[in-house]
Amino acid sequence: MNPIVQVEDLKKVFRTQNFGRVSKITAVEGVSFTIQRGETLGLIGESGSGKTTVGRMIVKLLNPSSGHIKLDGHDVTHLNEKAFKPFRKRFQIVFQDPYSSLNPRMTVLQLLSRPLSVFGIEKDRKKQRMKVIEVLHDVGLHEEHLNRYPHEFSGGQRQRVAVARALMTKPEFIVLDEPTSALDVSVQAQILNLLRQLKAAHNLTYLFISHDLGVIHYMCDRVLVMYMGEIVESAPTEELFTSPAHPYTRFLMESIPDPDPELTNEIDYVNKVKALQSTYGCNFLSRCDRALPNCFDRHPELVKLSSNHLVRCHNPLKEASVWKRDG
Amino acid sequence: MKNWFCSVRIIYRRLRKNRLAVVGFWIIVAFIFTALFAPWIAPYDPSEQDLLASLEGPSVAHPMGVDFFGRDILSRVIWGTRVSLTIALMAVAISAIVGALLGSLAGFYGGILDEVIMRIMDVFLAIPSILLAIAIVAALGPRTSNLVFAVSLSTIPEFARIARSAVLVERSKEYIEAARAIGESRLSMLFRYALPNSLIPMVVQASLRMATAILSVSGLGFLGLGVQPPTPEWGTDLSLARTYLEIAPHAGIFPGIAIFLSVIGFNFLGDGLNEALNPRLKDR
Amino acid sequence: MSSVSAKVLEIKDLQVRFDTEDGVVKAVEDVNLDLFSGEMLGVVGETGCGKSVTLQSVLRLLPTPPTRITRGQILFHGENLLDVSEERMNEIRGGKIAMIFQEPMTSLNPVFTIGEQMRDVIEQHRRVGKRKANSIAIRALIEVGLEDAEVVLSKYPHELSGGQRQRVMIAMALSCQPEILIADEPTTALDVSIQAQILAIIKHLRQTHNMSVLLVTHNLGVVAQTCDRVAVMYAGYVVEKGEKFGVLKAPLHPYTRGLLESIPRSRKVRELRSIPGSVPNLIDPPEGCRFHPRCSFATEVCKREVPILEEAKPGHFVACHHWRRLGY
Ligand SMILES: Nc1ncnc2c1ncn2[C@@H]1O[C@H](COP(=O)(O)OP(=O)(O)O)[C@@H](O)[C@H]1O
Ligand SMILES: Nc1ncnc2c1ncn2[C@@H]1O[C@H](COP(=O)(O)OP(=O)(O)O)[C@@H](O)[C@H]1O
Ligand SMILES: [Mg+2]
Ligand SMILES: [Mg+2]
Repeated sequence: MNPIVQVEDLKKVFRTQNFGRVSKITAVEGVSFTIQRGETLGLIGESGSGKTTVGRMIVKLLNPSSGHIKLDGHDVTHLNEKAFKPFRKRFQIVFQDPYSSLNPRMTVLQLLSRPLSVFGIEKDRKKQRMKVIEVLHDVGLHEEHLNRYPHEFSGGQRQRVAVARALMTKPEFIVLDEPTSALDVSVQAQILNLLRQLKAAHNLTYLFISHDLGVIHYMCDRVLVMYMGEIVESAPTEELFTSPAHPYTRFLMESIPDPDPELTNEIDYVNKVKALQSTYGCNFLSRCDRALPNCFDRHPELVKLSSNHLVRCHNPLKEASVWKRDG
Repeated sequence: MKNWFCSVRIIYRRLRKNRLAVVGFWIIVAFIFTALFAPWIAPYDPSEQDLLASLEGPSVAHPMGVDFFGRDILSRVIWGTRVSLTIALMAVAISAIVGALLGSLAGFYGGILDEVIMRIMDVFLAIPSILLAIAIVAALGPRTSNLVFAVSLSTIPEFARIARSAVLVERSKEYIEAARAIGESRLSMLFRYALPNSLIPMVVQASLRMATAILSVSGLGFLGLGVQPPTPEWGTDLSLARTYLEIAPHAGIFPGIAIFLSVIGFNFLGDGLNEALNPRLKDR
Repeated sequence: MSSVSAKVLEIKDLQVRFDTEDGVVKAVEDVNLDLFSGEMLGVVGETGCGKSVTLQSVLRLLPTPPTRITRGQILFHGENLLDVSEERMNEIRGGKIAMIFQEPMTSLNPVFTIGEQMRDVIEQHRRVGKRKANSIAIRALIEVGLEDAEVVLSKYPHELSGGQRQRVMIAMALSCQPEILIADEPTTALDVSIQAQILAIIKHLRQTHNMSVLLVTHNLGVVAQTCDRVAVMYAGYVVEKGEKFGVLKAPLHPYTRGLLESIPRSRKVRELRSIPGSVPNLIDPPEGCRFHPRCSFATEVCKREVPILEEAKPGHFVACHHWRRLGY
């Protein structure tokens, strides 16, 4: 069977204009990966690393500057909006901020029945209503919520509505773009558990974008680490967490404060950042403590460490686990 | 609808705190009432002439006095409300609709369409509105329909600008992207999502524009280019009274007060609405 | 550790209300917190639980109306800050007690350079000349890890990254040699790696300058890794407080426990247990214990009576009718 999503050498350059000066930002550079049916692929990186841009290109809310996107084996890179419409139904997205992704002037019923009308899935009002209620139950809401407006809900409930909207068309694949980062932890846990349930119940495939390693660890089967628009490491989740190969990945892991006060990760950050810069070399150079002469001269390629573990580093970490000392 | 009701209630609550806005609101309610029930309120037929009473001052029979042709001024002011408000309302409605359409198309599609529409609007904005209206009425003749057209034309650009900026703000919101993701077409995105969310600033503008429209209608009337006698209209009546202002000031004062009150009413309400909708203005 | 040192700040029975169009917001209820000399106290809780309001009350930063501080005292070395004159308050604000915020951009003026702003603040609070102020500013910037201090001084706030701006804010706070640093979610808007740097800087400065720090955050990890003691807030109340090891390793309040169980952690994957429902509206909060509608241990008494904050173990306080039943 075809992989459900396959992207090849994706690149996105934004042109921005301020005061007449045109500047180019390369948000995504040479990104390739595939997503198999039924898996949850995680995409992690700091803000501005290009995660959202990748997610939006897959569902064609943005067009790539170059490269190819294949959805279920079909190359959709150059399809126009009309030709892409059948794919919209099957490939959905949930946005980060439930406070801005729902139209404040539409009720839940209106919000959720629009996809049914737009795709001609169900025209009859009564049947639409029944379908909407069914999906509302799926996401843990009730019939009484039908006629409420987004502002009458809490953040977590809004995100449930947003998830419900994505589910209306019975999609096969959903991009989840930091679906919980605007929520409090106790509510985040509700939504994460809900997303896992829905995945199992509806045979979904997820691209799960997050900046939180804990969330990624909980949700994903395989993880891509992005840094400055490029993939710097790719590995199955367990392997990534037990033996990260890229210094950036380890750096991210060490940066997370753990709620267990006995697991400390004291690092002297005060004077850690060195001023290493190089136009040709590795992007991570300025923050890396393992730089070799090579790193200044050559941009590293994404190389295979094992069949499913890729890393973009001249001097990858080899020691087994960062967390070994914690037992 | 519940949402609308909810926001209307909040706006009303805020509005109530602003004394001037409340005054404006009640002035307008009074005028609308007068316009609707003119035939029952007015003591006389507005064109009925009693030449013997010509230019008589206020009395019990004629509380606002009588004009040169012996017509009851109170009745003329009352009927004049109907004429002025109707023309102003039609003019504002037309310019709001046309302006909203042009502005939102410009804002939503951007590019060349935006450039063309907005540059044309700029040209209209550059001409003083009363001059534009005078030119149009002078060229087309002082019929009511031409009057509406003349007054509305000069306010279209304001509405277009507001609609455009509101749609631009809306367009960048995430729920418009979300609408694309569920396959909404562009036109549907504009009408279902962007436009409804830019309605509120339009309402404020409409209230403020009513004041200018009334002023334009009576201004044209005063210049003899507006509503033609014997139809009762404040500006036209004022212009007639000008000749006898020294011997019969009442004939000018009362239509003048009517113009003044209605303009001030709409302005107070418009400003109050603006403040209620943009709470931050208050702090400045 | 800090048991012998003096109390520098004491918040006593603080109660804060907001008058709004929809009704009175009961934002902070009977909050009691002490800060000892040289210690770092963390205040954690979810959005809207009253953390910022509590801190801003300390410096009287909340506008009245709509704010009403209806009860309580805020004692800074025994002096009640809620009573002192505005002049005295201005001396204390920024001088003795400095505050940094989640979004540094809101407290930096976009039209002046960093240097102009820092020098101005330093001249005011340290009563020194321009030259001296400049060198103090440079020293402070270097101390927070901004090596090219002179370059930073000549920049405008928008020319710096989020992390750099937060460092500038810390340097600015530091340059007035405050006794207390109040930090309101200083790292929430930042990436984890930058967060780690900022926290390391705050910890380091606390030691070298012997400051007391009051750190507010919604992130239990941040508290665990930086603070000495923790106070957990829920819907306006402090529900649990004590040494961080006690509170985070053996929580007594069901809310604290729920919070800990709902954090996905990078080091261990286990089933996440979420707290059902959501945070209550503080205009019309639940009677009795405000947590009872979300609590699986709630009984009749929880619906009627507000639990008092009692000392369950030495130095470990909890406000729950049933902590004895739930204790580990
Ligand atoms: N519409 C846009 N115009 C210009 N630049 C953009 C646009 N969208 C994103 N960018 C830039 O692209 C980069 C990657 O952004 P994004 O994909 O949103 O990152 P992430 O989701 O990882 O935080 C950033 O530097 C951002 O400023
Ligand atoms: N100016 C205000 N007017 C009305 N309510 C307010 C105001 N400031 C804060 N509140 C309310 O007080 C409660 C506590 O807010 P806050 O202390 O900011 O929470 P947090 O713990 O997230 O910092 C919230 O419910 C909030 O809605
Ligand atoms: Mg993003
Ligand atoms: Mg806060």
